[in-house]
Amino acid sequence: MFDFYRKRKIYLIFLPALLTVFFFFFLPILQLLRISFYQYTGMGTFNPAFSFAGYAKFFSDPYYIRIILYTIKIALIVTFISLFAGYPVAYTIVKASGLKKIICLLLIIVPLWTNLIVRIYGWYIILGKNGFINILLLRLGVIDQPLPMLFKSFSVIIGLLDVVFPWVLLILISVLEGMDWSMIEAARDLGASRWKSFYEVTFKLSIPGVAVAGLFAFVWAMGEYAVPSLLGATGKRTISIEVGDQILSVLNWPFGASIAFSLLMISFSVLFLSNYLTRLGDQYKQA
Amino acid sequence: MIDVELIHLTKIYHEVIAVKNVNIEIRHGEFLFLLGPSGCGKTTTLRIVGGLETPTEGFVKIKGDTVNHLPPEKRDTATVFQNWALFPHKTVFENVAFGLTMRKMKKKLIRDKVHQYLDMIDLSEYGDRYPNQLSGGQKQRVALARALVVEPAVLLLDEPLSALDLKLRQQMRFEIRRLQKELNITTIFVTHDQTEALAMADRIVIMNQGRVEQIGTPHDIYHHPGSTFISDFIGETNFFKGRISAVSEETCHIVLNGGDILQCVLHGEGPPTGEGCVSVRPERIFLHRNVPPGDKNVLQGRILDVTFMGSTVRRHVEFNGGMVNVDQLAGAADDGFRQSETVYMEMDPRDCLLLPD
Repeated sequence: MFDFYRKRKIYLIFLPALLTVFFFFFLPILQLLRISFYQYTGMGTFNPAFSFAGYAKFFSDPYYIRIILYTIKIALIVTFISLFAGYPVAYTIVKASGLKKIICLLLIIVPLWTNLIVRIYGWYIILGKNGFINILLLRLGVIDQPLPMLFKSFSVIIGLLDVVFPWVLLILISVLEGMDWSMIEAARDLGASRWKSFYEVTFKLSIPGVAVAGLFAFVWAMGEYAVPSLLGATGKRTISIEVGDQILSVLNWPFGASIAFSLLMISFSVLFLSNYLTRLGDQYKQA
Repeated sequence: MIDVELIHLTKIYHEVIAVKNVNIEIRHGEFLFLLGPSGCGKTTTLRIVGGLETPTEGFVKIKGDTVNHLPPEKRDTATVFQNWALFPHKTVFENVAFGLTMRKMKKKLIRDKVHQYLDMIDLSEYGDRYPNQLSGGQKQRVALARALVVEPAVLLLDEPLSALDLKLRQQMRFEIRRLQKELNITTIFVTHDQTEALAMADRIVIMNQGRVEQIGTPHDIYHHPGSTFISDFIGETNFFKGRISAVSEETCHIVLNGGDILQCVLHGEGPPTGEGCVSVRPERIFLHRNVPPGDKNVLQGRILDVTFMGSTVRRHVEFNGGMVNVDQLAGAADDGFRQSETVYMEMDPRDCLLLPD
């Protein structure tokens, strides 16, 4: 019908994008992968040998294993909080109508237009020793010493939620927005209570979407650099901070690259695992 | 026995009146149709019975008990929705079993019942399939079984056939009516399709702009429509407008705008006066080449056009003051009146129905 699409030349449209991705993303990544196998010879120099030393060190040294586990723990906490807090919010927004809905969506989207660094410094004002929360609690007499909230796991989690939560909300909203609500009516009509019909229909049907949102939150929280570097505790480092330090301060490029690729591998394996799991629960979509 | 009673039912959405003072009684085992154009309040009325909407005023009684305060899950009703609303993540078996599971029945009993109803709709082999592996007609039957399996006092159907193609629709009409009679279940069926209502209903409630226009058997509604709206909505008809004169006990004359006179048999609604509108069905008008003998109504006209409609042939006849459609069985029309021929239209006064204009 559309000869236009059959002509191969249409793919030329993608060429600039493909070239950009190739030269500015794919090639540097490949270069980094190669460096990750090099041998570090001290003082920022390295040998183009082939060694697994960096990977071996990262996955065996207890110091780095602690970093891996800490990063995963923080990412899991952020993922669960954003899903548990996000679902009811998304549900309420989807059920709202007219002006209320538009205002809610704007409240989610507008912060995304603000620069991340600016938002992180905003948390200094809120969480700091002389910050908003401490002053409020002191004035109310709830505490008599300012609570140390900044530069803790707590502030890292708050900062990561700030980054991830709006996106999780948007994903969950789009999932629930596609729900056929007459199925809820059918469930009620057949004798399911309000809660039971929600669980049996809305919730069960939204599980694949929730998995996508959770995955998104997890992978992002695992790799985020700015939040832990500006809000993180000195003693508790995340993988991305370690990568930055190795490359920028220690100048051990091979080891930094090994860690970076390990992070990528951890994220990818979670991605494949969850893809496999949702595929299992998803057979009804095949026909 | 009266199974469902709707008393002074009114529903107002944001100052728009969707349903206005509807009163209907439905007998046990009756197949009742709510028929009307879209926006006439028929679906809202059905949803009020099922508990999916709350009436602004009035009462719903099921088996003598007022159920206004009961949520849908506590009512002895089951609904087949317009898009069937099957659960896509559950198999056919699980879909049908849903209502029984919610009633916390024993597993074995559920299995037996589901199989019994899957048998009834000829889908016993399909229990393990998912809804999107079924055809439209099969989905429709699953939705029906899912509602019937809970053995509700009242079955509610909201335009369940509108998404099917014509052939399947006709087949399902027959099947639903057979099941309804077999199970002797009180049923309310909402549709805008008058042929569906005429073919399936025990009684039809005609609704228009939120109000009940007429309640009657399909035969009554078709042959004795209570208003020009119904006459126009149910089947096809010709309207003749004119002034009423020469009123007697049983008949009256209508002087048409073109000067012709039609005699109508009255049906005892009291002597009509002023302007009137006469409805004559296209199949109740007979064409002749010469003035037919007898004392029936005869109008002279000229055939403007002939339309072949399959089983019938329609002639568009122009007469002094208007246009009339005349239908004849295609076989009978073989001798054929041709275009621009002059004809005499014969109408029995008993087929000329005077309606309030």
